[in-house]
Amino acid sequence: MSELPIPNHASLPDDVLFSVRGLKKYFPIQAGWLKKHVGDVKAIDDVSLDIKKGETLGLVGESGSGKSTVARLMLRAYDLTDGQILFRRSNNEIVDLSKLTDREMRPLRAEMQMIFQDPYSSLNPRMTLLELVGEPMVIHGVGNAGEIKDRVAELLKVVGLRPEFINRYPHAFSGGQRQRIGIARALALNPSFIAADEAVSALDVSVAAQNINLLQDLQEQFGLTYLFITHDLGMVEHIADRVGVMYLGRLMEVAPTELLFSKPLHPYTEALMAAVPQPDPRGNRTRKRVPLKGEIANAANPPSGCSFHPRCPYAQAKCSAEVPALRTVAGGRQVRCHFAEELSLVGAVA
Amino acid sequence: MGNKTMTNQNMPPERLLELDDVHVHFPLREGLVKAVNGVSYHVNKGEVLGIVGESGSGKSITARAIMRLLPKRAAAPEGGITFRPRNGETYELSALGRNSRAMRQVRGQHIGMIFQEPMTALSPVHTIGAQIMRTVQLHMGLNRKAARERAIELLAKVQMPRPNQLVDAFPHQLSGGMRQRAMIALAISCNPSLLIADEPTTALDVTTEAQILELLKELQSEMGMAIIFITHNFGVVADIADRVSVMYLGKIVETATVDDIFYAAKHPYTQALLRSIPRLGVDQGRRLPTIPGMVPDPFSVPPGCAFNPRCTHAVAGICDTQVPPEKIFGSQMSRCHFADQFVAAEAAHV
Amino acid sequence: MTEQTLAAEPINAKKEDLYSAKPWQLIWRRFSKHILAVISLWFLLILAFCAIFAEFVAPYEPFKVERLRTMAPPTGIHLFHEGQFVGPFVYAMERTRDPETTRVSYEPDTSEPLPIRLFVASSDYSFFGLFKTDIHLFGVEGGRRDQINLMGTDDLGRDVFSRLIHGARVSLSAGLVGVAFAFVLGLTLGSISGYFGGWIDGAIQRLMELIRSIPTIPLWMGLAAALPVVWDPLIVYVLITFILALIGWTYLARVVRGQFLALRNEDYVLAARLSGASEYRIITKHMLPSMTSYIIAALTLAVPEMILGETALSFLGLGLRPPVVSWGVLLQDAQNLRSISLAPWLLAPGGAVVLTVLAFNFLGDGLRDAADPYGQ
Repeated sequence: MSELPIPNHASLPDDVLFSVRGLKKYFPIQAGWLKKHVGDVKAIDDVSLDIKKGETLGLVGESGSGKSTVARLMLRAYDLTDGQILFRRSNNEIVDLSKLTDREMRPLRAEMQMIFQDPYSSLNPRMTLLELVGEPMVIHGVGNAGEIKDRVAELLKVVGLRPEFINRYPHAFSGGQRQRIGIARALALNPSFIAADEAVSALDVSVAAQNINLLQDLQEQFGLTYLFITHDLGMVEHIADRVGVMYLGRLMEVAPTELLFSKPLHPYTEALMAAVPQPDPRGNRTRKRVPLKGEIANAANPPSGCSFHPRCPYAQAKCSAEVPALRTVAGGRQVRCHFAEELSLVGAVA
Repeated sequence: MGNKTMTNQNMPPERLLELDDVHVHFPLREGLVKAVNGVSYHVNKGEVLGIVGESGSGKSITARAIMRLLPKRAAAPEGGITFRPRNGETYELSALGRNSRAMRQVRGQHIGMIFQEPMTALSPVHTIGAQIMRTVQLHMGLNRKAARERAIELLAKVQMPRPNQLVDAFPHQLSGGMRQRAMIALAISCNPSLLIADEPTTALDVTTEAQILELLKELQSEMGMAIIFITHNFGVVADIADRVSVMYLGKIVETATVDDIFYAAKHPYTQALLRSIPRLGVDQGRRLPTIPGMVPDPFSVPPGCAFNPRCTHAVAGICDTQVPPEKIFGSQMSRCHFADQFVAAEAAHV
Repeated sequence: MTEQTLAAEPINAKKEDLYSAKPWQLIWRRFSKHILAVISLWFLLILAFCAIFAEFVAPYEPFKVERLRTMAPPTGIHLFHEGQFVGPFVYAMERTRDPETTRVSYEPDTSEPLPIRLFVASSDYSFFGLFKTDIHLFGVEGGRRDQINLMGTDDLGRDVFSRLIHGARVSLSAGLVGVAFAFVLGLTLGSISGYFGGWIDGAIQRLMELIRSIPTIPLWMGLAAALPVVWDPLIVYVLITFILALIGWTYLARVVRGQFLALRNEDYVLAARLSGASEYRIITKHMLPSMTSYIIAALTLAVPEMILGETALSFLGLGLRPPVVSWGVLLQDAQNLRSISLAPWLLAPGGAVVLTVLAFNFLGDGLRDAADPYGQ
């Protein structure tokens, strides 16, 4: 259904690291004693996106939009229902991750890593920093014990922790520091790609800002490519080069950050930006805010046509009848709305 | 209501609640945690007081001290808490037993409380209607039929769709946002003069958060109740509060009108926090200004001004030895030795 | 970015110890705060010592019949003889018979103290087949009938305390061996169930529910009754523990399965997978170490059930039979009213069962509370 061109191994542009086409993840709904298949929860439905080398792609959406699932599917933490995931390895070889088995994926995992939201549950409490940060090296057979120790100490320094802490256990650290341990671990094998899943959402304001700066420094230092998943629009505007907006398992809009925030093309993007409470009381008093009606629909029973139409203030008859495709419009932006060109929506930037 | 005293002479007529040097200490194995360490604030009738702070600042514990809902292991709170819901009816909450008749009366009738997690307030085994009815029957002396009507009316008031049907729904049958509404209905069921809202929107998505904030503002102006709104989100506080208190490590560091907090802060902590939030539609440059270090653990609060090790304006010999006094500038209070100097700096800016 | 975090916070040696303490050290720290559990641990260690070295600890042989010392009450221990301190001693017991009722009664002969000595020579025994000796931990020196019976004697004049100590060996080991069987079954089926899920999980779950729904006593009785009386007591003993384990494993399997399900969803397990870890590494490095402490606690809590099961079966005469000495067998002697009214000391094995079961429960509670030293 996507109108994006579907690249093959040969036609992937040189600057693209990840190319996802028609990604789908359905969970079967089973009923009755015999577990009869009665339908699907379409957690991810037809997601297509490209991530360029060295850029940060932000993925925003509310809970249940499937933004984390997209990242986990790309890293093959789950099996996908359908779709193509092309990945450019560091030796420029192009692989379709969707076709690989778990065992075949293992060597590739060195090149793509993930940072988790919860700094408490994502570190094994029974392992020291040496074991935690060094584990990827042990798994991939990189270096002997002494080399691993040196590398771990170096990584701790890189993320702003003291190398003397190498024999400590995670319980000795605060949330923000634990997040840094997770970052050090993700960096251990020099990956080219890191998916940060709500990486600073659980942290206090002052600590979140420190960690965001760290992530940006590391990107510059190591030429990393980020997929930055968050529900915080202010954060995504700050860190991302391009942003994708997700709603109910579908990408609604993808655009360069500045364009998205100054001139959104999808009504949902507009509503999302209007809903964010701003730390600006005077502005809030003058800003017109019409809260979105209703709540996100149930993925097991999505609305017909455009999944956003029941809440959309601009919805017309066509919206409930036809599913809009993710189309490429002027300026290289993509949007999934029948009336993107006709609407004149308001962004967050004045 | 044996503990009711005659009208407190010191309290101006517009005062609803006054906290005077409240302390809450937790004797733990690792040492004494002064979770609330000398907090004084007041709430006027019909105003919204926002309380902002990072985790561990003691903002929620203070609210629980007002409601006398502290965990048993807390040492008995010190300091005075005076509450005057109506003229001629004054409660010294700090002198009431936690389970006394008068305290239960206050909790049920005069002060409502809502939480981040609605299921802390709602019983999973009763319908939401039954829970509201029980409260209004007990505190307003309504009969069953009138109580049911009142419950439906309240659900309509919090903009629940189909209140006639949902009155018989169990909490688990509702979505997160709807549960939040049900909890609000329960909290306002007896027309309280004060509503304590403890991070009520933190777990919600932005669009639902906007709806709940809008609802609370409407209820507040319609019913004329005061709200203590506790949050870590400056955007939310800018949206809803009339006055704001900023807490750090068990103390209020600054209190002012919402505009003064956001545009003329006189405490370095407030200023630094506001700078470190990524704002929508505002380009803050590539790096976010941060607050160095992290929040100290509660067992080793720094001497002097608790913020001094992280403060860029700290002066050795003063800030690390002397606890700063409350400096008053009209309606603004700042607990900083050098608060007066920020006045000049701010004036120069405007 | 880095300077600020690097500079702050001087390293504090005492804190550093805590921060780099191994998981089991933290578990021990937390466990040692649970006073009742620590007392229970000591009690069980002493009991285990007594059971292992029963021949040495018990002053007499468990089967030695003393016709002229039947149903003797516990011997009183004294410190002062005629106003003079002589250390712990006992008086010899004078056996008399009421001429009318012909009831036997015992009177202490206070003329001469019999001091209690450590490491006295008494009956011969073989120390684990290594060497022969006749040294016992304690006893009294004197004539053949000058005995110390801390818990009296039974109707054949056998020393109840000695029998209790020997019975502890059988009853405790029955509990431990039973738990070992149950552990093998529970760990295997529980981990298969929890790791693979799906219909395998469903089938194992239903089987466990079926087993748990059968009332245990009749089931034990049925199974135990099927064992031929003529079999060697040792084989009967092994089979009885196996029968107990056949029912007891369900509880352990549940714990293991629950742990597997909980850990499978931990972020750190996903993180390990995304680092390329194999299933084997995930299970051995991440899942099992987090589970061991819970499993040990669950095992400890399962022991009393086994001990009670053995006691109940033997008491009913369906489990172990004399001449094997176990607490359940000993309690058979206390089955009738006559012995309870005339010789209440025969209930002593019951007291031992109660204390042991309580101790295991307290110990298990303590371990369970300490199992996750990172909580809270």
